[in-house]
Amino acid sequence: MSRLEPIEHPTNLFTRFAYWMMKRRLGKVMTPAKVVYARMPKSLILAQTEVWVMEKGLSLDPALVHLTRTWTAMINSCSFCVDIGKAVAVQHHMTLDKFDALPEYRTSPLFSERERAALDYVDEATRTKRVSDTTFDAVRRHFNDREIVELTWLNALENYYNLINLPLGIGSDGLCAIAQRRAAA
Amino acid sequence: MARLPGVARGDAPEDIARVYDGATARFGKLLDPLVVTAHNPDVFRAYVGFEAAFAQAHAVDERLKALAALKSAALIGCPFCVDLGSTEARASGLSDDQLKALPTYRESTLFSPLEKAVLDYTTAMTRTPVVVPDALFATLREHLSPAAVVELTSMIALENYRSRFNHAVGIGSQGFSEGSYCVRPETA
Repeated sequence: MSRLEPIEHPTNLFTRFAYWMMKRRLGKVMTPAKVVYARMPKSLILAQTEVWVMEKGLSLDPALVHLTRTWTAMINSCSFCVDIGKAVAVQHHMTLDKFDALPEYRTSPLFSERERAALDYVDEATRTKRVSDTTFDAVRRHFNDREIVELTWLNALENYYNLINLPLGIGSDGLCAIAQRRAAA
Repeated sequence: MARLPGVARGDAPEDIARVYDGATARFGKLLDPLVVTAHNPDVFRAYVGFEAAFAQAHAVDERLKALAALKSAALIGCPFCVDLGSTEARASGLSDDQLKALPTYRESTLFSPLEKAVLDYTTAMTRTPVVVPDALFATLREHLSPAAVVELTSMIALENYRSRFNHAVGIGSQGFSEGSYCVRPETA
């Protein structure tokens, strides 16, 4: 249960529209919307913009985008964020094998050297907040300047979301299970 | 200089060049995080929108937010962020003595109980893993409305966004605090 009361019936028209959209897209209104966005409607517009950039504005391939974000969320133990990350992956018809193998990404044969370089980068930027020269050099060998900015942004943004959900006690909404049921139907 | 080169004004799209000019007018120099982020114009626009929305959020006292932001920048150890953050904190009304007492705020008499609770909250949120005890959250709620708690939490998360981004790509201090006191990174 979240630490602040969820707002089930917002009066703001835009927020009500967003609730309706979420029900269609995710199968339910996600808890951060009821706890955070309903109290700060502007942040809802930002979240929509960021979803748009993530889906249309990046040169990184979508699988890597979702893997790096999910790894950041796993390090932070944000169960809501890991769950929604997997739900989006299911909606994009990705298999979840790699998501489940993330804790072993350094040794698992499922991951390429390029993916490992990206995951090492977000791992350090999240865990110790300090990226070593060795890790940065590895990222530079596999990614161009624009892609490095994208990786850095994805990690910073994922931390932003994780760090709002965690202290407010927002846990998993079970969105991945809904996405899997819908995909099977 | 940062680990990545920036995008020069002449190479940036027109709308981004205008943001460069606005930032230069406001801060006296062009901010390195902007020129680095400009490698992806869509990310740049999303980020600037993000900052603009926060600039219009006023459920929490500016001074309290500046204090929280500076503390998380210091804990992350981002040189750019403590430099600019020190200047912003002073502009919001914090004294040099308070900035100097930031690493030892718990023992200091310069901070109110609410300020100390906000600094505890900032520290708990910035550490990995994030652990915010119920008692600490209850203390915040005694002083702040749910809307204010949401804004404060988002503000601390935003500073974590900035500091983690800037520190990862190695953006250094731009000398905003030159000639006055600048908070030091608190990392080992």
